[in-house]
Amino acid sequence: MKESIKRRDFLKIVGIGSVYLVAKNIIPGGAVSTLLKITQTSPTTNSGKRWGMVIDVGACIGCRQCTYGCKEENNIPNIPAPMQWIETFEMEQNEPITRLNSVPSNQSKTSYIESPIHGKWYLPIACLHCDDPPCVKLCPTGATFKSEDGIVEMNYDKCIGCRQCMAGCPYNARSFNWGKPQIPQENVNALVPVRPIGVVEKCTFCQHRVREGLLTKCVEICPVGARHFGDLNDPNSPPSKLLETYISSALLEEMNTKPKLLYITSGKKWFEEEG
Amino acid sequence: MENHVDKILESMENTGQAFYATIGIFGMVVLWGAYAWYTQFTVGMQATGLNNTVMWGLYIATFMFMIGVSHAGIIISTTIRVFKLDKFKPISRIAEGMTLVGLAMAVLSVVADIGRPDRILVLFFNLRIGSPLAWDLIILSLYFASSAFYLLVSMKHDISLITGRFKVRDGLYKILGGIQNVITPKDPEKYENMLNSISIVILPFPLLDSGMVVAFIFSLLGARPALNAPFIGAYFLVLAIVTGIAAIVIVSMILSRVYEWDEIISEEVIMGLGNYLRVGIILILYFIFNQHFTIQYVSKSATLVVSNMLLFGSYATLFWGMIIAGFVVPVLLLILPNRNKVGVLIASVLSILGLWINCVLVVVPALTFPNIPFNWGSYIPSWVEWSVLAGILALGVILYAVLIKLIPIVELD
Repeated sequence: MKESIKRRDFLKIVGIGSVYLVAKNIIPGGAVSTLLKITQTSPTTNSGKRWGMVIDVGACIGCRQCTYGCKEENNIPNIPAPMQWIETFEMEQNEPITRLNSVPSNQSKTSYIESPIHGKWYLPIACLHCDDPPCVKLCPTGATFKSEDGIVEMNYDKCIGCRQCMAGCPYNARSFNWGKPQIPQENVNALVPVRPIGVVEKCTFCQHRVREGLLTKCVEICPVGARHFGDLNDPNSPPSKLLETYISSALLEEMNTKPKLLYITSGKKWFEEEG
Repeated sequence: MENHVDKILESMENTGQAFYATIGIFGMVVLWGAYAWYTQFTVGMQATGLNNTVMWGLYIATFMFMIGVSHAGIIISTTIRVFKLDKFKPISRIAEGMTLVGLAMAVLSVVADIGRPDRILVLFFNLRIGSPLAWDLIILSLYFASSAFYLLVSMKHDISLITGRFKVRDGLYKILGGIQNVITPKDPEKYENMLNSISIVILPFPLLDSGMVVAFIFSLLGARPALNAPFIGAYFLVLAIVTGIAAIVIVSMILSRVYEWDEIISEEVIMGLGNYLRVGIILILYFIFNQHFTIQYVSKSATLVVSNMLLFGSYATLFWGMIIAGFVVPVLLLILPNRNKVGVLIASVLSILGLWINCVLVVVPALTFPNIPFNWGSYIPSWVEWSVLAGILALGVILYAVLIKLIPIVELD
């Protein structure tokens, strides 16, 4: 009898102890609350804004100035391998945006040399900053999260490099640092952190610029004005006005991710206006 | 029976040159794997063949496979207790050992896959309960803990039998025996009840692991339509259980051969496992047929491309090789009227190779052809990946070999 009481006590201590350890480590980390909501708040993001972008694919000439401007602005490395947050695809004239073709005619559509070419149109894709982002739902540490102003952000210090977010992104918008990124010291933009090795990164909607009242680099640099950025909560912002005027479409709409990067075609395609 | 006990104790006592040679050879493989992993850690994941489109490869496939191996213990030891299948009793502890070693290998495969293994503590302190990876971490930890606990409790009589028999190891047995005396009741009937209760707790773990949380890592990826299917959980469960059965046949046959335990691990046991293996492989073929038939008939492009690449495209050789050599031939071997245990062993070896290739073919093609058609990728594993995996496997062999020396791997009473 004495033996069995001792045993019970031992099991009780082990049981309570382990529950305490689990609870202590998991619950104050905000695990339960982050399960319920994917949005994080902070003083800088609590501005009542909801950032969004509209790209006019009818106007885009595929020059990829946005890609290169973005690379400079955001310290995106060429070493060990070229990386880009904005990919621009060269499309055939009769190709819709979300063509789920079983055999694409041209797989390396981002490596075209000359643009614009008559009869082709161009589709730039970056992180769409979904309102219901699959990457945020999948992330085990909260390294990627949605801010109150709608930007899907990365916390590079929390990323363990499991790449679950990349597997879950329907748009292939995320890149992994397969090696240690190297950028010449004189080219580093001090406002943007240079990423460590082994973490995931992606377009930030130039959060360091837009929260200071500037436009994103890609919008600023676009030579034909195909990109429009602003607050979707403000009916007078450029993207809101365009969305009111034109029929818009989201990439892979059936995924129900509710992207804040939307596409319009304002009238004719660029080559038809010319010709 | 006395004779059996002597034989088993002899296997623990006499550590010959063959044992040290085995440890030495596999130890060198472990060192090689460690070197490869160190390379990967210093230069980054660019040492692998992975890329931004195919971001998971052999490591994750091996994780899935090793979870299957780890189910051996549950399939054998707890089911014989719950369903009273006493004929498999001689191999029950062999299987429990495989659970612990298999889980260790599974965890190592995942650690090899993540880009920042140095940040593993970040994961523990910032765990988001909404992430499938967190569910895996929790369920697999519980699985490991309860399996280890079961092994500890079930060894009570054996440990008390061997305490005092060995010189160096006796301290370990005294500690284990002390713990066992505290946590288990003295009354034999209550002790049996305790073992039965733990078995019932452990029994649903394959369903929770392979059937749910491991499958959820893949099936919750809306961006990969070939994986994002409701049947994936049931399919993974069957894959994992069959892997466990094939693995236990192989390990039992090796032990029986090395230590001449033919009388202990009888032909009847191996043939019985062969019967389950046969049913399992037929179920796998049924799942594969249904998957491809559905995709081909509906021909939705995002899944059709994956199916086409497997059936007729770049993965066809591997796929049909796996179907024929890994599944169809084993089934034929297992329905031969005059089959023997060597036949069952060959079938197990073939099917376990097929099952590992199947894990790779479930993961890789589905990632290679994502939803957006312009970002198709390709993946060829690098020497680093092969070496790290060889190292993990060799480490598993060493762990198991040491385990055999430390505990009676066949129940003594």
